[in-house]
Amino acid sequence: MNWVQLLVDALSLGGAYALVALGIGLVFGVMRMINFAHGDLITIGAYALVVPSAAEVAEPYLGAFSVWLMVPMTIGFVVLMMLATERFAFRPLRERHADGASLLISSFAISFLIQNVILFIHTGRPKSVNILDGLRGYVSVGDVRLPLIDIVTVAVTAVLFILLVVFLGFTRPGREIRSASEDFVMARLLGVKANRVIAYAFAVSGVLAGAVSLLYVAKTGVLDYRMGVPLAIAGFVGTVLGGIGSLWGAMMGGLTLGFASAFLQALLPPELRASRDAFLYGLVVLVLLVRPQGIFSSSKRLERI
Amino acid sequence: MMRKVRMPHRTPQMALLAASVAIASTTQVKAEDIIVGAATSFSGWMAAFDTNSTRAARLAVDEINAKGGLLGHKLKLVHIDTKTDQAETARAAQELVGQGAKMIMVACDFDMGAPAALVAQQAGVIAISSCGGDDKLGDLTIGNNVFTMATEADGTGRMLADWAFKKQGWKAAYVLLDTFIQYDKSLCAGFVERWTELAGADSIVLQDEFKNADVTVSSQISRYKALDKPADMMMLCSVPPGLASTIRQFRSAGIDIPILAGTGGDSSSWHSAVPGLSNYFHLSNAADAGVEDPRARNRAFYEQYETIYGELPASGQGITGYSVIEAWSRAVEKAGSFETDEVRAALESFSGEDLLVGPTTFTPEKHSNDERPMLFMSTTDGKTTALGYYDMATGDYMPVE
Repeated sequence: MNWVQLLVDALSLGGAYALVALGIGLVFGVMRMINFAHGDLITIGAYALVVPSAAEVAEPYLGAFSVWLMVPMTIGFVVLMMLATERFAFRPLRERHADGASLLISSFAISFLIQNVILFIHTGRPKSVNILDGLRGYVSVGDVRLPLIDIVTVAVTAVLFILLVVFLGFTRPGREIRSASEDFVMARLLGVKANRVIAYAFAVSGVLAGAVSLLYVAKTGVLDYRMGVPLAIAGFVGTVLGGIGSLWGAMMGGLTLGFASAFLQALLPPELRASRDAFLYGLVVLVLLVRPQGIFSSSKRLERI
Repeated sequence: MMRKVRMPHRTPQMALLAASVAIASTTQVKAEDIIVGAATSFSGWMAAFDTNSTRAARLAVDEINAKGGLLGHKLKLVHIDTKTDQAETARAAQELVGQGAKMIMVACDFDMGAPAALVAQQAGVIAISSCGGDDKLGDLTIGNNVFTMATEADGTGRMLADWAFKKQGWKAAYVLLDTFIQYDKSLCAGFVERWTELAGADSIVLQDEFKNADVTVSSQISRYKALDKPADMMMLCSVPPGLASTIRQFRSAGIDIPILAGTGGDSSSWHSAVPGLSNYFHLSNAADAGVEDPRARNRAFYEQYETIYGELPASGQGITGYSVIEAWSRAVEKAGSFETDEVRAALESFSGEDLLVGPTTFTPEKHSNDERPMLFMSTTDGKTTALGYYDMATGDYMPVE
């Protein structure tokens, strides 16, 4: 067992989960709603890379552009779709003072809607596309293998997290998001527009989702209409594990979940490996029994963004 | 609450509707036409696996009708879209039974095909799955009216091992199993069984697992790389998207050993995930789109298919739909009757019956094929070519017709 190699393998999965957890955590902070459709927005970003058609062999669409166009166009598209779901699925409910359960159900509905629209347009046959071809190799450091895509995934996670901290700390929209997360009613009384601040949160969450779309497809080369669902579940569990409502907690929770998954995959004896997820989520339950507020939440009070 | 109150009213309405549809349809059909049904999906995820085979079945029906029909009757194929939904599947089969279908073609999958097969079994109608490779379709789990045209997954696995050992001379195997669906488990079980018989258990240098939806197979790659010496080949029991993602990641990690896959690895639709795909081998019932099939009859089938539908079936699995009709009509001719008991007996008398899908054998105990010769294909630089139909009995490719 090469422990450094194991750390590298774990870090890559953890990075992807952390990005999903951050996106879900950010929207939760402002709206107190788990957006289960977050994973399906990741799917939408991935499918934007190919021409919409029922053909068996997918033609690249956004995936055919150079990286400098493909990355902003894919992320931009996911941001637009994220804003559209907010505008048409969640805002009307909020304006009629629907309770949290209705919003949650609405996010499930959006999730199913997206999956079925993709099924209708692209059929259920998994598709493939090759993007960021230069990241297919790896570099060796000693006897440790560093796949380029994993290096990029970890770097992107770190950079996006830093940008997010700067955005929340030093820009007006960021400060509005933070104040709304702290006390939504008070923030509104002080002049923060509810619709606007929620749209900000969704837009940023869209950027994070779009980044995951690109990293996921660059790593696996495949598209499937259900691909976002396990990611959303991992991201959701990550936010809870880290301490719901805390951005740092969300990121660390996602990382922890990825680490735990990779370590179980590597260390479980062969006959138990198929039950990896049972062990993983069993561990999550145990952790939450001991620390219901999450591992990285600094106080018992739910810390907010 | 609303649902509970409305339900009792709704059910008779549904029954009435179904009955009137059935009456309307039967009156449209001339008295002497024989209905064969297809309860398969043209929408939902199953459509990707059912559409080709259902279209192929329609070709077979048209061909029979062009030759004057079956026992003096024209055939009429009635397709009802089951929408990748098990309740819809059962309902479609009921409607087909109501219309008097003599045979019902069911989905290329046990879970999606079983609800229709169950209805057919209870109604005393023959049900044949196109390419459902699950043992449960062939071992009379549902009943003695159910058949499948597929080659069973574990037989396919044994064939891959036989070919890899005898034809390629590989000695050390690495087996990677995707635990997501039963087909892959049976495939790997068959491979391991035959490989162990031929090369001994020690010659499997590593057995590992992953899940189809896993984002990463880094742990598996690291475990393989930690071996003292590389394997001669890798048996990958998986289906896309997991199959494509795994091959992309293994190749990106510089692992270039031959990779073998079952029918789940057919069709070039996933090849763009692995640019320059090489040293890749898989088998299927017939050639994938764009690959020249060694059998002249199959080539004629593909030509006909392309003429009518404007495209080729993506994979060699589509041909099984043609053979559903072919097998059943051959049995009807042998029996000289459309009666289920006689047709079943005729099907069970098939011994190496020469069908488009390959030599087919059924017995009263086994309604599927285990080690039917299948077409091996090799991919180099993304270009797939047919190697030949491999016959385990001879340990060699079948002679080209």
